Amino acid sequence: MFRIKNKKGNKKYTILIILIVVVGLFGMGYIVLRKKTNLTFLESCIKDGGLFIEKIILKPFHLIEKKIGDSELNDLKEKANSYESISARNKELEKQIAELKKTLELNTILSERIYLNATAINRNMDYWYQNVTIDKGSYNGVESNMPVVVSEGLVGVTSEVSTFNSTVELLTSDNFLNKISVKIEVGEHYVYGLLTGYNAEKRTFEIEGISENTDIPIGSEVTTTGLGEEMPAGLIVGYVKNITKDNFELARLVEIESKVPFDSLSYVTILKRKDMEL
Amino acid sequence: MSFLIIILIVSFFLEGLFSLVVSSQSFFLPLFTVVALVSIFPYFNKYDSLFWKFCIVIGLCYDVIYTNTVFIHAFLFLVLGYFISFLYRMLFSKIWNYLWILVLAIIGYRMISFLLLVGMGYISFSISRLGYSIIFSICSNIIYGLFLYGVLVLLRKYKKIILHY
Repeated sequence: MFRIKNKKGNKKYTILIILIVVVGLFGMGYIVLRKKTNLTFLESCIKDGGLFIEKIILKPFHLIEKKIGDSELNDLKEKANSYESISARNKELEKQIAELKKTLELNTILSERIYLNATAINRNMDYWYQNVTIDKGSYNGVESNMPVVVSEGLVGVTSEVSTFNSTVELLTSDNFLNKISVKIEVGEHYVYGLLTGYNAEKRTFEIEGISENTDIPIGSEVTTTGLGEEMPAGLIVGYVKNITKDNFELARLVEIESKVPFDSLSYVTILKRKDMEL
Repeated sequence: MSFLIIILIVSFFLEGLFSLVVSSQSFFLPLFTVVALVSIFPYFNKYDSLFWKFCIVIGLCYDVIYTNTVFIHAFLFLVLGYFISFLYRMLFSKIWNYLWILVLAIIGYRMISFLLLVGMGYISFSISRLGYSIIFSICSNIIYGLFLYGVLVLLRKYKKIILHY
């Protein structure tokens, strides 16, 4: 009789412990996944060490790739690809300079950035994590929340930064917490909105909170506004693909398509603020 | 023993390298660390607790180096370790059973990680995405699993790689 009671008690304790472990794991996981904290020294050392070995293994493949690829042709292709991105940024810069001339009070221009090129070491590990690890870290002046781009447009922002490597949280990530202020070019003026999420099935981004009632033509260019501390103005996010209404048939929902190859990123550019160099 | 560790480490780094070569929407998504765990388990010869310790350590490495999610993969790989040892107890280690265990381990791993991340609010619930993640992972991992099976059978012929009491 006593044994039976004891067994029942043990069972209760086991269930209780399992429940505590599961709840604890979910709680901890929520904190780990949502709160982007800096890596500890030990984490940073292990991460850098592991990725250093991976870089060594990757080296011969990169050399072969370089030899096989016709560099001149690639350069031309890259230039042709970056033309759209550069022209959009130039437009933004011209506008900002004109405004600055008027005010004469600002010392630095918001879109002034330093380009830091980086190579992807691994990407989309474990399918669910939409991120890319790159070979530049705090040693190269990288900090968290710096915008990352390719010639086709905005890719994401840096999240965890170790000494020699950092992780880029892609715009396509379900966990991308920063709502980005964007503007849609409609003729001579802009329509403002917020980039709120990514639809993995349609492979499109969604813009909500459209400020005006202006007709938005399909194919219009969508760029960042530069409102907020980290994201500069004039970075291409995508092009308008479709315009729908929300569930209440009130607000407009703009679907945009990005030309960035999120599934096959190899080289990216980090945009560092110029004042960080001083 | 050292051969088993080498196989695990090589598979771990190979998974990182392979992720650069293939697109996340292709039929060749790598899960080489999981495949390596399935392949080396029979050679632990009832040293299950040692195998589970291996699972935790490699899970922690996966967390720190690849996903920045400390303890999540350590837990996931431990659960997977229990699942693999359970499957091997149910099925004997022959080539066909090995393939079944491999497929079941991949499906189990994907399902547990999906449910865990949905529960934590990291990803949104989508059965189609879970389905795609499983389908995309089967092909390349079976090929790699067969390769590892061959390597381990060859090694077994020339070296003592099975742990003994």
